[in-house]
Amino acid sequence: MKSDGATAPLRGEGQGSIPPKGIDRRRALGMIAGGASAGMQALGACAPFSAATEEEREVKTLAWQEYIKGNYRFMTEEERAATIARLERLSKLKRNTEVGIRSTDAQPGVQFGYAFNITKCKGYRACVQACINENNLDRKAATQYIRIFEMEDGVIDLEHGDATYEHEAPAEGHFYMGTQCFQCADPPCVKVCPVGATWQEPDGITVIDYDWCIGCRYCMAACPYWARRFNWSAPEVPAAEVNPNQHYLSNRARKMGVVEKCTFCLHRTRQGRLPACAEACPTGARVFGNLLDPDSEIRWVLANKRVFRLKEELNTEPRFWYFSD
Amino acid sequence: MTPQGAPVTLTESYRLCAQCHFQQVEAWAGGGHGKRLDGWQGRRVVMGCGDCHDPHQPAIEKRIPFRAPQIERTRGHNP
Repeated sequence: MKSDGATAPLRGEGQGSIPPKGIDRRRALGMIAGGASAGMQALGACAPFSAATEEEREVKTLAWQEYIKGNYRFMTEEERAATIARLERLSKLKRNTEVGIRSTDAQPGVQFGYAFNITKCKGYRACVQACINENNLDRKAATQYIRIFEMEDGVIDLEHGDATYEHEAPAEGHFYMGTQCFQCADPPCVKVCPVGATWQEPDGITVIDYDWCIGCRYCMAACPYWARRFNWSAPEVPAAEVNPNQHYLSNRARKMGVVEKCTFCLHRTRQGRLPACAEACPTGARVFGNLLDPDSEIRWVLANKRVFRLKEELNTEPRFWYFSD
Repeated sequence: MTPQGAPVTLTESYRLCAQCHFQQVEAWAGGGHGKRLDGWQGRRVVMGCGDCHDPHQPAIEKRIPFRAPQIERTRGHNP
């Protein structure tokens, strides 16, 4: 079961290396399930996997192997490829959707940053719509990562801001301020996770391994920006609406009982594209770029505009700035 | 036409607009105004003035927003 750590020095030594190194329950289960080279066939013959059809048996076998896999953060290259192959196959078998799941790492020399122009935002929620489609958000529970607060001119008071307005926007005498996950440089949500299912990537994005999350929701309590969402039921996305361009840490299918959140669309941004919200914004209120590139748009905004961050006094160092014209 | 009398093509409308809206054009050139079309990486391609603004009605129109989030306001909690 344990792969040779020496073959993948950069990406962790594989799940077998996680301390304590003795045989624990998870590893023992793993050995039972995948230990033999003929793991699949052996499992297929096992009593717990008795199934009517070949397909059902495959689903059960794959689901079992997924259940006993390790934390993505500590996986070797091969372990990542294996879990992605299983997830893509499961998506085909269970939901009849062909998806491509990436495992792209952060680009070196990149720290993502976001700026939001509160003068330009007109409250159309075009970003919200794009986010739902891009990130395969649960249609049944109507999950939304982005909140657009409508507030009266002159005072920034989110306590009394209205995020549920339905009238024509922009309303007279009001301005709009969008919130989402701010990808804090010192994220309180990561500190409280008891199982290490959420962490910060080198490009500054805080991600979640949805298969390692135990759903305790400590991170939701810790987040001062209400950026995380919990799946109270199994998320439902119609097969025709599923975005097949996925990343393991971003918009792949979630399950019941796990937390999810905005990842600045890392399946797009690590390919050099803009996040879906920034691309969809009809007013150009959203500026996205590399904080380490002095010629980037985001750096121009930080250098030339009056910027502020939300709840800056908490020292969470959000990578998300607000500015006005 | 520019003040010097040179003709301005439609793709370079900013040269005309900049004669009054110099602050906006400065922000547009830097990245604080306007909309980027390609990704954040590589060559920067942005919308021109006339791509977003109708010269006869430059303000962006009102519209009904996309549906609101289904959230209940609870005591002491933001939606």
